[in-house]
Amino acid sequence: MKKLPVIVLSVLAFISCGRVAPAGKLAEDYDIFPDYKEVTVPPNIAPLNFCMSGSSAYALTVEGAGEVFSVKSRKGCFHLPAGKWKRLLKASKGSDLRFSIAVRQDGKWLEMNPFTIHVAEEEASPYIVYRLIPPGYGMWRRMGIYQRNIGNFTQTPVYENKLTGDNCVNCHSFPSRDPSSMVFHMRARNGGTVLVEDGEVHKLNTKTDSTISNLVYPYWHPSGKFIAFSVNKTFQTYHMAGTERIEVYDSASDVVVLDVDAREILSCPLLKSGASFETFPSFSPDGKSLYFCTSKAVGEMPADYRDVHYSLCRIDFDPASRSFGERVDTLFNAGDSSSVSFPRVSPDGRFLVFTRHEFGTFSIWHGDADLWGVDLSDGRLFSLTAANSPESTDSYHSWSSESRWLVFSSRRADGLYTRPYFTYVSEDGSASKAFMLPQKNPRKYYRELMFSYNIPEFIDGKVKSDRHGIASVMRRSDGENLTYHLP
Amino acid sequence: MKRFPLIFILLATAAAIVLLQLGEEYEFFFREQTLLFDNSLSGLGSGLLQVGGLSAVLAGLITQFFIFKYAGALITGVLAGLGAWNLWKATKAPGWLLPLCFLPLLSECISLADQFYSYQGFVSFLLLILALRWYLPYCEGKSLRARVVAGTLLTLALFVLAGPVASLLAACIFVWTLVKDARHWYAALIPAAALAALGYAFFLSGITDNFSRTFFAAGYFDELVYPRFFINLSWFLLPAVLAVAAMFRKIEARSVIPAAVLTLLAAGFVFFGFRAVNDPLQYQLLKELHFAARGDWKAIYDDPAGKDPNYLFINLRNLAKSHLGLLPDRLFDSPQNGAKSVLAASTGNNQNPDMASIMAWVYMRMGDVAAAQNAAFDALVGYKYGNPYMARMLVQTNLVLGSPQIAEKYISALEKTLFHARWARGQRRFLGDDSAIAADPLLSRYRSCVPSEDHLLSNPGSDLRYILEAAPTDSAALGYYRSILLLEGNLEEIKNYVEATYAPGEAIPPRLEEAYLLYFRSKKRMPDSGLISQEVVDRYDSFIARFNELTKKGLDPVQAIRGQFGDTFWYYMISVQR
Repeated sequence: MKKLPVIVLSVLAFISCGRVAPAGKLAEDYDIFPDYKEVTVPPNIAPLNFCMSGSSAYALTVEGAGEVFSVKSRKGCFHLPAGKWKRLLKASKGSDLRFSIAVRQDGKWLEMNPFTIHVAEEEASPYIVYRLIPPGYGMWRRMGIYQRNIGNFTQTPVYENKLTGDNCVNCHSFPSRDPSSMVFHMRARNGGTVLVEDGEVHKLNTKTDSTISNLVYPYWHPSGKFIAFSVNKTFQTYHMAGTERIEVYDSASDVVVLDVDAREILSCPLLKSGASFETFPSFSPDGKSLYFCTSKAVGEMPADYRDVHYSLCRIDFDPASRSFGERVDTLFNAGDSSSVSFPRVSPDGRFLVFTRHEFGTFSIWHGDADLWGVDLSDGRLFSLTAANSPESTDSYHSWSSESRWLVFSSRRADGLYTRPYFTYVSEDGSASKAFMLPQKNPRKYYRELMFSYNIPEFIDGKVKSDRHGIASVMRRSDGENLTYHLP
Repeated sequence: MKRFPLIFILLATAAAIVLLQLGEEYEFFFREQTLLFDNSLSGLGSGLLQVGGLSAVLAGLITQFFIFKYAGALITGVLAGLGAWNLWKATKAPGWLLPLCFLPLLSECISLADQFYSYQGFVSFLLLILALRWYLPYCEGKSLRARVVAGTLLTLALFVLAGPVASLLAACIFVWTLVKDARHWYAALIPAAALAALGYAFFLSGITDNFSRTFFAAGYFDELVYPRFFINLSWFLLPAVLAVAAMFRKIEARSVIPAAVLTLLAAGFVFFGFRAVNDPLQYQLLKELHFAARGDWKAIYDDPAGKDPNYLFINLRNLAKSHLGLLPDRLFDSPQNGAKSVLAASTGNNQNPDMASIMAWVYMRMGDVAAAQNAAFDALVGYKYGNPYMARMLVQTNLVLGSPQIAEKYISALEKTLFHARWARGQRRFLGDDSAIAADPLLSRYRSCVPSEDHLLSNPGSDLRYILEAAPTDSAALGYYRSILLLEGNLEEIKNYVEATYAPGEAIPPRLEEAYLLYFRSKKRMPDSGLISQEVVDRYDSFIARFNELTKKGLDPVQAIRGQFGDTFWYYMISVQR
């Protein structure tokens, strides 16, 4: 019993103060999960808890501008104290944090190679919204749209499909990252499009006699008065061998714009050609341009699925007269060696980032999909090389308000389950090494999570979602029918 | 009469166990089969944080034991007996009323015959009885305020721990008060009002999904299926039993007649209740899904009830034949109807997890590993609580297709179960070790079937051509491919296949030989390839002679010659053409 106070004190000392005095150095390299080595982070990011690949005793010291703290690992994982982390990031804006790790071997602490993390000056938009879905898309039970405060670990539901009979909820979108309005679709039971305008919920029936399908991939006009959509005849099939699993393809598609107030769908012959597929529309931040992807319609789908190559195009849009330009500009001609998806212009209008892959439309299932950019000031095309992974899908991306941060989905962690990654895009367009969305216990969380993060979207505040209200409207309302207008 | 309660409860429990074993054995297996339960502390913890989390966690823990024969019936029967005994004790009713106390529990047991009624519903009902066991004796001699406070707190606690069944507790408290202390009936509404307020707040905030599922038995029924009325019966019976018990509490029976009458009533209830809930065809499907999950193919093949013309049964029966090496020779010894007899649906056009499970097994047997993987994934996520057998398959497919990180994910999930953990740990040796995969007969067979070149999945027949290019001698793939050729009945294609595959004098599978002969007979000539034996020609001649004879007499040849020629390709052709 006499030894008890000593033991208690030792344990307390071990828990409370992780700083150790290394007796030597260990030269060998090591992996951490998630890989946060040499990444750039926003100053409003949650603690970057990480795990060592081994389960020995480890001690970590984090040093920044005038601040330092130490922690010891629990089962090989470091849990960084939130308060100290926040202060450290605030003090270290624009400079590096140094992460020094020591491992206990044969009773001695040995210092491992340190690594750094750069803290950017610019904060990222504080929330991301994403769908959590089993990555098969054939069958499902639970799925939902959730939001996560990137400054801590709090995830809250925006909408869960259990409220409307386990239906499919998809394609959430916000006007210029404004959380007070949003649009998303429900398919199967209680189907329709959910339009939330300043908290008021509407159900829209979006199929018209003049469009080939319900409205599909959305993008809001910066005024909030229009939403561009594609309409698609989409199918899904599967690969027999190789690393790819699923092939999603369109047999027809067009681009339309919804006038939100008039509940009217607008289009023009250039966006609605039977000889080509048009899809993935997005507006420029000034609202005067509509970007989209287009490919020649091939003979037979899915037989010719590898012959479909989408180019990146642009057409004028005049919100005042609700009219489109008479000419389509091609920003990137995909030729027969690549294909473009998801064009997204930075809020400052400088860069357009898209997903580039070898062929087809649905880059999310293509391992070769990478993020590429166009400098809209000079037309320069570039790869976001440092952010991309060599063999896994890097796809759906969304800009943060200050035009420096991108969140995108990547399968790089295990090849199947997409996870959100962040990258910093500098003024010259070069991207930093991407880092994974932090979690309290990342190894356990990501290993156990049986859902993919789908369509991560930055937003500038928390969505105050009336889930019950949405469910109630979608269950009970017959919905508002849209009209169609082709000038 | 003194020993009656003990003797009755023992006999009634034994009878319930027998009934459950006879009537619901495969329901219990199916519950285990469709539950990928996380026994880790964090898994249990996150389960407990849900509304009704305690009953869900307890149900999950118990259900895992249903993997063992008799365990489902034994555990459920004993729990039902204990529930009835505690209900009787709670009411302090005389012994002759004990059979009546058994009725709500029997009703719950019968509800379990419906696969869409969750075991959590049964466990929640037991938790409710435990609550009554404490509450009713507690109320004896207590002030109105104490009773109301206790009742309210207990109701709210039960709502959090066990979900909608708290409404039933509130109803029971009301009924009990009404009978015992009618003057203060209004006070007994307070627990119900408090529950309504809490439940409504949960409902409005989107924590619970809809009104009926928040407060009523429907909350324990699969939300994708409209709940049967029967599952509500125990909710009516329990307050009624409480009312009767309260009213007749002091009345002792002078003979066994009242008890015997009530026992007969309970027996009658079981008989009619079970008939109302039981769906023989669905039960047969659960039975065959169980055999398939366990790999007991002989049980499927030998079961005469499995000859139902429903495609699900035909698919499973042909799968069993494949595993027993009987394809295509014994293809026609059970009803067939086109190529869908091999597989009724294909990936991408199916929303039924039972069908997805069957697809996964069939595709895997064919060697169509990628298709099996997609179907297994659909089945895993299509069942509300997952499916450990599909998770096992996903471990195998991901190992075969070279995705060890994904395989490891499913291994980790399986390691958290009680009875699949050992299998899962055994798979770890394959992670990142191709030589171990190559040395394993099953995994290496699957790997040999993966085409060297990628193709989009089409239909089993087309996919099998690619598989056979990769593994030309794979007997299962060959068996399926030949079966599909026969089932499609394209004589030209069969003729081309036979002539491209067999040399003169080489033994041809008899059904193919029959089809090959039919091709030439339909052209009114004989093959000169030397591939047809005289025996087959003679049998065909007698088939035709018999067919013509029956037709001339105006009789139905399909019925009349089934016994003699039902196993032949010729018979199949006339039966599908009818």
